[in-house]
Amino acid sequence: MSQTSTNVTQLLRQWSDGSGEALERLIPIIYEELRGRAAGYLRRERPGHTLQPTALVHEAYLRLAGAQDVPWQNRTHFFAIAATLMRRILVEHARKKAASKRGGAEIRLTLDENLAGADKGIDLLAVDQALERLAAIDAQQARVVELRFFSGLSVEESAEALGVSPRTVKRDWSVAKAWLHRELSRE
Amino acid sequence: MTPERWQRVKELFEAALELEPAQRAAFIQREGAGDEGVKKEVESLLSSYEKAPSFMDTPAAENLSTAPQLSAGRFSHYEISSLIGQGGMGEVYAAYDTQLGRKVALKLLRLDFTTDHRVNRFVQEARAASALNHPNIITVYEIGRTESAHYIATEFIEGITLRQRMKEGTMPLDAVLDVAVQTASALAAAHQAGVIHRDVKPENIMLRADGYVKVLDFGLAKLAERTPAADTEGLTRALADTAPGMVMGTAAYMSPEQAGGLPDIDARTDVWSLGVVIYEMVAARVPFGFEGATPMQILSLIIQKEAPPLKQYASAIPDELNRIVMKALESVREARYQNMNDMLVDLRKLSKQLERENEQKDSITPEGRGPTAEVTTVRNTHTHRDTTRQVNAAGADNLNKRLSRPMLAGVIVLLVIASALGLGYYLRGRNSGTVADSVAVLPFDNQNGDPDTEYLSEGLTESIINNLSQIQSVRVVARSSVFRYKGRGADPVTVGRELGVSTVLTGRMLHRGENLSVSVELIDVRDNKQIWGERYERKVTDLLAVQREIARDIAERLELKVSGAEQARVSRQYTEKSEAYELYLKGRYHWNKRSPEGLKKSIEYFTQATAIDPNYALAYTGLADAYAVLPNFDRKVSRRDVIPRAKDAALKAVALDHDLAEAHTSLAVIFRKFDFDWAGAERHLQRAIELNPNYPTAHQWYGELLIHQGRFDEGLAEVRRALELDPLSLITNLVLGMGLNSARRYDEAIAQLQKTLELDPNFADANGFLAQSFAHKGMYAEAVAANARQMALEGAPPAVIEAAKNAFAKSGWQGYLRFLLKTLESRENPARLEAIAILYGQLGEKDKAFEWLEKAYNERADGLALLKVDPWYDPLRSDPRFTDLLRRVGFPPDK
Repeated sequence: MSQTSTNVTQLLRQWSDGSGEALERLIPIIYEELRGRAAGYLRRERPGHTLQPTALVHEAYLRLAGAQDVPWQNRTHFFAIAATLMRRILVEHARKKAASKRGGAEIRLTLDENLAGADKGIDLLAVDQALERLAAIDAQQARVVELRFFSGLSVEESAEALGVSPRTVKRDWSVAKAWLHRELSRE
Repeated sequence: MTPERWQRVKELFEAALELEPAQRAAFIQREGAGDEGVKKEVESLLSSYEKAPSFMDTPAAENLSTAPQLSAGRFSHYEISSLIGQGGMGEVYAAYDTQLGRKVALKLLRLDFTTDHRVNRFVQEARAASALNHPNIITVYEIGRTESAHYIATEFIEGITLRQRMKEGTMPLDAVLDVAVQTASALAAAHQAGVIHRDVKPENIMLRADGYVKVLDFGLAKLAERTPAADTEGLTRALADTAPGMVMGTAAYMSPEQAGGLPDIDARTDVWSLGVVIYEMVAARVPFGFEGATPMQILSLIIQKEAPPLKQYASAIPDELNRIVMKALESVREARYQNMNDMLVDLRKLSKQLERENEQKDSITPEGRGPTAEVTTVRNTHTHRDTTRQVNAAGADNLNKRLSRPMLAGVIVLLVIASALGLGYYLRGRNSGTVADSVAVLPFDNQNGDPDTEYLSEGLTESIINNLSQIQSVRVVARSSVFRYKGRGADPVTVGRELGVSTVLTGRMLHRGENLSVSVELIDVRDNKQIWGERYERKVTDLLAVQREIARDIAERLELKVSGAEQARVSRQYTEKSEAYELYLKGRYHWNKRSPEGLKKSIEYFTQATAIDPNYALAYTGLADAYAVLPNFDRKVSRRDVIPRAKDAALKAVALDHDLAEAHTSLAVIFRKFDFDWAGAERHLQRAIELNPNYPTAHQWYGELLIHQGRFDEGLAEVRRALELDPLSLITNLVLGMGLNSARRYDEAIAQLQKTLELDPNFADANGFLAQSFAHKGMYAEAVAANARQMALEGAPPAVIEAAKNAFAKSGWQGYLRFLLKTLESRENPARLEAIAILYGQLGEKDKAFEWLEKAYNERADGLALLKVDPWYDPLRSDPRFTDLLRRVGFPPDK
């Protein structure tokens, strides 16, 4: 077992025992790992080949915590942290991309934008901002969105990460989707 | 909307969704009656939902498009003709260099898809490859960047990949050996230059029409043996490289250590991969994998199984070939060829032997061959090789084929020797007379991979830093800046550039029983060349000596000007007892963790060290430092209890060794923190700096001390000096921000704190001070936001953070402060006593404020050092009680 995995496993345990300091130390480790992975995927994508955030989070978990008898609780805790970080990473990515579109005049001339298909997707920056507002109304709902949308977890996995029933997640998810759709259509 | 009503909205919405769309309106009318607001909201959400029921069902990342690709057109001074492939780090295009008029392969890394770290690596790797000048390695023409992309232009190879060649049909044995020898010699040369390929596979081996084999795509290459990070890059790649339609990804060629994600991938991984490639050329199948296997299945086979003997699939091959390949495929690295050169030698021997055997079989007269062999030149070989290919293609004239074989082998041998020699001379030439003014000692790699011996590798690193920092003429980057790179697998040259130093020292330590093996390498950041490398084989008990030896050797290699006094300090021995030294290192290791348990352990170890060597001043400073900070990390420990112990230890250290900068620094802190003896503290800090001008902590604390006294310009200058020595230290960066805040230079403070947060966005304290600067500027919304981030990072429950934000939204700044006060006061063990006083002061409740300030004073709260300069205390300053307190913490009124 490498030192990182010992560390992460320990920190996860300490965190679930209520240590705020453990969380503080966990976040940068997990963030680095996820960001590295995400960047790797995003860079290497071929057309039609998509990044699977769930796979990414699972891989990150395996790498950081190792598969050896880690209490299941730790895993769900890990997913909970990872979801928030995935949101951050993806929003940062979207922001960078938006910035480079504004600034990259030179390469745009030589790029075939049709190949990119960049604009079909949902505006992550707008989602991020709307989500801030949703969190003010209902924090748990916003967490559900992070888990489902940004981290790609299933309803069941999200329920475990939040410690609520799958039914609650389902409900929060459908309301949140409607709410965000309305918010985003307004803009 | 209240939480209760929102809950109701959610319930109604959910219930409505379960109904047929047509029935929903009536249902809401009925159920929502009585609360128009709730009803409206549910209706609005439902209509929104019905418009796009699957909205957001696809996870965010899956909507992200791929990198836009270049179609025909221009890029910089290149004309793009077509996309020819996707490499490890970006796309590759066939292009035409309009300036030099030649065809090139152009590889792009787009900036919007990457982090600085990646860009650095891309450039680094390109440099690594471009430094390799070998006939079997693709030639790099240019490395460059435009506004939006980095690019590498390489020679354009006309030919086919080994993968394509294998698809054409079984390869004859001599062709297999030819490819094997050329590939091995390319890799051996790369290894010699410190570059590991890490992705050797048939797709990366090209066969040119003239017979040359070219190894390409050093896209995954890393500088050899300097990368403690696990090879997850390769793993991810193996997993990602399996788009539908791809028969075999990278997985099949991965070594067990790569497949297992082990941290220390070395040159032996290339030995393995080349083994797989040869195996496949001979057997037309890879040793691990089966039809339809997923990369994951392949990886687990590689990790768990032994390769089936090659003979099993190709019984006619020489035993020697089977032996070579199977030796390359030993799953335990130690059993494999230990370097590519050994494998190359064996391959070449076999190749020659086969040729000889063939010659003997065919009765060709020696006279016929002689003259041809003698006129061997590269160009001649080419001609012959071309002929050979054509002849082969025609399936005739074995004579000619056999003639060319030994010649080619000979030429390659010559080329390899020449290039190795040339490289050696080149390196030596470059290295003579190197003068460096700065060095970063990177955390030594603990090859035991065992946390229990981590203190040895860390301690060794730290001791070398300390020893070197005694020399005035060189700037040595401090521990906390270099340790930020620990375990991150950062490339030394990149790190060197980030830290702004001219040289970097990397090291590895292996500890087996009594034996200790330490290898170090000093690299010139400017040209990425090794200045010096050395291996020290010693007993663990000689650890002390090794550390001094290394520091001295570095000073020598860097040709530093070392004064006599410095010389003595560099090679100085702080204790005669190696056991005490080892305990000291353990103590520092735990101290560096700055956790309650770590600090307590460090106290134990330092105490044991002083028991073994009662004259060990350094161990006493460790003890003093640990006691001094313990209350900051463990609230159960009272300052009053530990002060006397800290002070005793620090005094003892100074008494034992007047010339120890660390001892003076430790004592100064105790004078300041606990005795409010500012003058005494200043004296000792000045002495510490005099003794060791490269000790950043002394500069930082001296800076703080000056700032606390209102001597801002001097103080900020000292902190900046500390930052020069320790540029990535979070705490020093924070202190600069705090200092600017105290000097009421809020805009600069905000900029500095934001810079600190760029280093680590999760640094709670930086957010806290940022909030203060915003607040002093009257930017309350920003202050609240920064505070919220701080609280979140400190692990406050989201509900509390929400409530704080709401308090601000509802009742403004004063309401917010009142909320904070309530929260702080309700804690059982309030951490920041003076903060409560400040809040009362800000809210105009002076009596309460002074009540808490007294408590803070009794506890010798750290924050009181800021009493004289902190803008927060402004509402209290006119009160006589404040003047009295100022006097008691060491600031007499006239000053």
